[in-house]
Amino acid sequence: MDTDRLVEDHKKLVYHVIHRTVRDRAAHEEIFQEVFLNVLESLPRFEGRSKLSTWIASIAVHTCYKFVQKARERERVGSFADWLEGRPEPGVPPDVQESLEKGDLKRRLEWHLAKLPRKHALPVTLFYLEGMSYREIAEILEIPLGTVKSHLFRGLKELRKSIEGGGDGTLLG
Amino acid sequence: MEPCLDDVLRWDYLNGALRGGDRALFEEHLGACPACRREIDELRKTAAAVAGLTPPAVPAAWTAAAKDRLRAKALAAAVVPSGPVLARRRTNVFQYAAIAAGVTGGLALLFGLVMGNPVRSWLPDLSAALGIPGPSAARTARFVVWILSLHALLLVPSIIDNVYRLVTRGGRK
Repeated sequence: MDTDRLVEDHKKLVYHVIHRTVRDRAAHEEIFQEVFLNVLESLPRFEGRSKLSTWIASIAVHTCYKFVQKARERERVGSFADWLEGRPEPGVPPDVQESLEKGDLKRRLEWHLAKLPRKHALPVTLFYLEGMSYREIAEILEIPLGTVKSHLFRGLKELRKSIEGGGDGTLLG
Repeated sequence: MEPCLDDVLRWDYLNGALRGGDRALFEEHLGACPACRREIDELRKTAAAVAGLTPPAVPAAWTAAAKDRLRAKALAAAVVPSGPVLARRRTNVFQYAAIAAGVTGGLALLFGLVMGNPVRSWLPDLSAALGIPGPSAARTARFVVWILSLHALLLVPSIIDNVYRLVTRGGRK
C-alpha cells in the first residue's frame, strides 16, 4: 500500500471535512492525522462498494464527530444526526476578522460558509468544491438522496442570507 | 413567506436537471411569481460564487507528518504481527489440533467397529502388559477401541464448537 499516495490523493478532501465540521482549529492537525491512521487501519475492510474517496470522506466525518463528541467543543453533542444540525463556527475568528477588514472577498465567503450548520455546509462543500455526486454525499452523511438536494438548496439560501445580513452583498455581484 | 415550490424541485431547476413538462410548468410559475424568479436568480449567483472558491491549502507540514506516521504504521504492521494476530494464530493451531484428534478418534472407532476381527491378526499382545485376562489379542483390541471411542466422544462438543468458530470467522472476512 502506497501510504504517501493515499495522503496525497485525499488530503484536500479530508482537510475540507475537518474545516467544515470542527470548531477547534488547534485540533485540526491532530484530527487530520487521526483520519488517515483510521483509514489505514480500516483499509482491509474496504470492500470497494463505493469509491475510495467516498469511503475516506465518511471516515473523516465520523472521526470529526467522535472528536467533537469527546471534546464537547462548547456544544452538546448527541447522535450523529444531531451533530450535523450544529454549527461549527459561531463567532468570527481573529484571522477572519483581519481578512474581513482587508476586504479579502474569498476569505469572507469562506467564513459565511463556515457559519452554516454542518448538514448544509458539508453537502455544499462536497458538491461544489469536491465535485461529489448526490449519491456519494448521501452515503457519507447517511441521509436520503432527496434530503441531500434539499440540504444543498437550503445551504445556498442560508449562505445568501448570511452574506446579505453581514453586509457582504457585493460578494455575489 | 411560504415557498411556492418544493426545495428539491427548485434545486433541480437551478442545476438544469428539471426537464420536459416539469420544467415548462416551473418556468410558467417563474413567469408569474417575481419572488421565486428573484430567488432563483440570487441562488444562481451564490452557487457561482461558491463554485469559484479556492479552499485554503493543506499545510505542507500536516501532509508530511501524516505521511511519516502512516509509513511507520504500515511498516510496523508488516514487520511485527500485532498481539491479536499472534493470538489468533495460536487459537487456530489449537483448533486444528482438536479437529485432528477428533477425526483420529472417530476413525479409530469406525475401524474398531468395522474391522473387529482382522485387528486380532496384527495387534501386538498388550493384554499381558495391561493385566487383562483371557484371549489376549481380542481383549486388547476391544480395550484400545473403547479408549479411542471415549476419547472421540469427549472431543465431540469441542469439535462442533471449533468447526462453528472456523466457519463463522471465515464468513466474516
